[in-house]
Amino acid sequence: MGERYGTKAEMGAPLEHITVYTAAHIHTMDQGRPDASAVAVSNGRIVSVGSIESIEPWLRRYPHSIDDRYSDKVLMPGFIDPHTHLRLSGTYMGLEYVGPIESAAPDGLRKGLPTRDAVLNQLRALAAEHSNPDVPITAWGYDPASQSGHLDRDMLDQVSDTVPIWVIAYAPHIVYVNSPMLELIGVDDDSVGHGIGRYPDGRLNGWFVETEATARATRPVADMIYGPDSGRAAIDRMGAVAKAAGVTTTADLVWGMADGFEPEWEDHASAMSEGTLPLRMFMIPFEPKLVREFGDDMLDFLASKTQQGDDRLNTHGVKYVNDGSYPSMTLVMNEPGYLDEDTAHTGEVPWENMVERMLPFWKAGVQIHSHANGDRTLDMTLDTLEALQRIHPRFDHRFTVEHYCLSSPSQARRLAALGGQASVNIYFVHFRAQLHADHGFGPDRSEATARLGSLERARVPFALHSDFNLVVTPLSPLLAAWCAVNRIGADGETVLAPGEKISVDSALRAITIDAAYILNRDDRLGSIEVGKHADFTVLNDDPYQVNPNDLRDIEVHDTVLAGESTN
Amino acid sequence: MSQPTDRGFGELDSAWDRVISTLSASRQRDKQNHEIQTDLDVTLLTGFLGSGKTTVLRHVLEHPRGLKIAVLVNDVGQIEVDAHLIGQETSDQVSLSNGCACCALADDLSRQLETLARDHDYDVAIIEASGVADPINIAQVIYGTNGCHLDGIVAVADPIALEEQRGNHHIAPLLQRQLQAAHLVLLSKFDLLDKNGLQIANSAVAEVAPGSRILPIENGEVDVRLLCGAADRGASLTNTDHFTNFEVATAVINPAGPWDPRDLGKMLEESNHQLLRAKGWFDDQQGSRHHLEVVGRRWSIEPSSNSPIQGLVLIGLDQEHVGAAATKMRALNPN
Repeated sequence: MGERYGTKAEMGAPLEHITVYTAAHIHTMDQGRPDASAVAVSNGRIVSVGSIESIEPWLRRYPHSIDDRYSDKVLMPGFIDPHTHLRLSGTYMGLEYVGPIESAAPDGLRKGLPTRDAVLNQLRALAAEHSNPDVPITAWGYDPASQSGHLDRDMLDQVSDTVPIWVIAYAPHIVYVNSPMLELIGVDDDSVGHGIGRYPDGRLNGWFVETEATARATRPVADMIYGPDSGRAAIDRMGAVAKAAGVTTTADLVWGMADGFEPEWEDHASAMSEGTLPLRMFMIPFEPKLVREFGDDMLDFLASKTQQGDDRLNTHGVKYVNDGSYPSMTLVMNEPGYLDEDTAHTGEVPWENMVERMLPFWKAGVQIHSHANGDRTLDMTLDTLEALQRIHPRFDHRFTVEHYCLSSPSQARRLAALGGQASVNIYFVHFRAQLHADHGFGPDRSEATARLGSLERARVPFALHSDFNLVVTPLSPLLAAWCAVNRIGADGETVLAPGEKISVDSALRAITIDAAYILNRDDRLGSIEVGKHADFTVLNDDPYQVNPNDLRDIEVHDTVLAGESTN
Repeated sequence: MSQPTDRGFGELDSAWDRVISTLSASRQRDKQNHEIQTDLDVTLLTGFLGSGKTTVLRHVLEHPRGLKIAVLVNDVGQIEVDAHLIGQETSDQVSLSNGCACCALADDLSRQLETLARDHDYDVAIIEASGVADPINIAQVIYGTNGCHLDGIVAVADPIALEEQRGNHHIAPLLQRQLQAAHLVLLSKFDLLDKNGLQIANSAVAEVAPGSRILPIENGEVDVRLLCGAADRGASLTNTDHFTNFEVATAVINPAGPWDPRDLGKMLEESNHQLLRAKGWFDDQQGSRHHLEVVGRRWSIEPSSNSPIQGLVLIGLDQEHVGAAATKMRALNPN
């Protein structure tokens, strides 16, 4: 699997027409030639980068045109988020948020709604622009305690008596619906069931309380969310979110887990061929599923998919999940452990089998991506990598620790010594670390969440990722860079573990060229260099010039994929 | 862009988790719709660290009343069952000589439960939810698992720590959700309370979760028939049977019905019947048989064509309430 995508014929296609994009500034992320003002593109590849004057030898030889649509913009290599779950997470994007507090969402922040009236108004606005009366409006987060009382059927009927409305709350567990939704659920005044609410006169009031009743009310909605087209719809929706954040390349880190390898691949392929997914996508198979489904043929399967793939959609590496998550406090910690009860999970593959399970991939040269949120899990991962090195020594294997949330400086140095690298979820530093000082992890490890400074001092290559999944954090490489550079906690002021901050340049490398390195594609992606794919992110401001505290506010104007604008 | 940190810990994330689990649980059951066998009754035991869950589980394992019970816990070593009972022991399972077992919770709960249901080695499973887990999420998983029946959610609360927990804004929301989700609340450490203390604890629970069925226990001694509905399977339907260690009252309605299931549902929904448990079969006016099950506040009525029994057993804390509930049910008779 050391083989890369792209055939010789494709690489050697003759130049026909050159397009030159000019910009106010181009940050190439090639440290040898960092600055430019024009980039020449042909057949989706970069022909030359520099200035109009410097690329003149090419322009003299080939027909060309100058495209100055970005002449007042700043160009960067297309952003790479090397760890997402677009297909999985997009499934839920159709749910509207109607809770009382501000919520992080993949496309930014959603404002809280203070009162029930505000919620009803919001629903009314949604109903007004709702085009298909067969599809319910679905919303979550309603809090009757702080938003001035429960919703009910009559209120929601006033919002709309034609479009079904379904709202799920959280304390206690309750679903509110209107009359058209009651019909979809298939209950009426004669229905028998615990938790189906009624007005004093016996008429259904649109409440569904507790497990069975909420499940009953949810079934029609779940059917739609998980319908046959839902995976594809999710990819389209999340692809748009990623594109808007400036991403041009990402990787799905649990390929095969949800609906199987072929259906998931097909959804991505069809989205690309129909032009709704303006990204390069690497499908990283979830190892337990790969083993279960293909057994001894697993490497052959991967080889055949690599053949079938191309430079837009391809398979890459293999993925292990070896502990729980940071926000749910299920990661595995070293002593002295959790503040309170230990709620850790160790994942599907038993730790004692890890070396044996990874060895076939290690020997075949398939890059290993191993999820480790907790520092105990990181120790196990390093032990495993050391064992693999003893059994079958390798250089340039790019063994990647995914997430790297809790760690120590010595672990960073050991990772360096073993030749490994890290793909880091940096968002938690801002969104969660302060909370966990007093919940789960304790002050020391919470403050030092995602030790990028230590990685840099140990010279471990690293990238920043969102893991955008079911954890409610946004997907935005510039926000990730902001978190890495400033390390400002959720209170908006406290700087957490200042020695773990990194420079603006390092952070921007970690979402471009270094992220390409993590995916072992830095020969094709991640910087604006001759011969590489012409993928650019077009910004309204210069991230090297703005106040580092404003990095996250820089607007993404456009992305360019294989030489073409995606707007 | 400041995240409100004073709103209760991770409330939004857990709300979102719950939405997701509700959605996927509903889907899973639909996918596997064909023949839902409810072979394995599953009880979810919830409560904060130190509330007394482990003591309850130890008691149940040592007094299973003929039931084969699989207890699913994070750490199989924690229960410390009477050494005489211990049979085979592995790192993730302790088998007892009475047919019960203590098993380590797997990462994939749904798959573990499916396996348990398929293997038919146990009558019931009791899952000990970790102290910081949201019971609703786990209930959704149980509800969505093929071959499993969510019997009830039981919370154990430490009456002495309750006030302090309610005052701690970090854990109060979770405590609230645990108590509100519970169909039965066990107040542990009864022996350490005086009458006044019991009253305070009772009203603390009632304030958080109005309508809760509260059962004071000491040393984890709770009759398995209150914890697990399966204990009433093939019950003799007599009220002479004695419950151990604490006073409960029972009543039997035999024959039960004919009742309109809607009327019975309405009565259970609206009356504050105070029953801890009820189980059995009744006929409607057309002569069709239905299965009734009550766990505290929760009830279900399902068509049940193949039961030869037509009778109900009601269990409550005192005779007055049980008698009143029985009277109300008898009065449903449309004739």
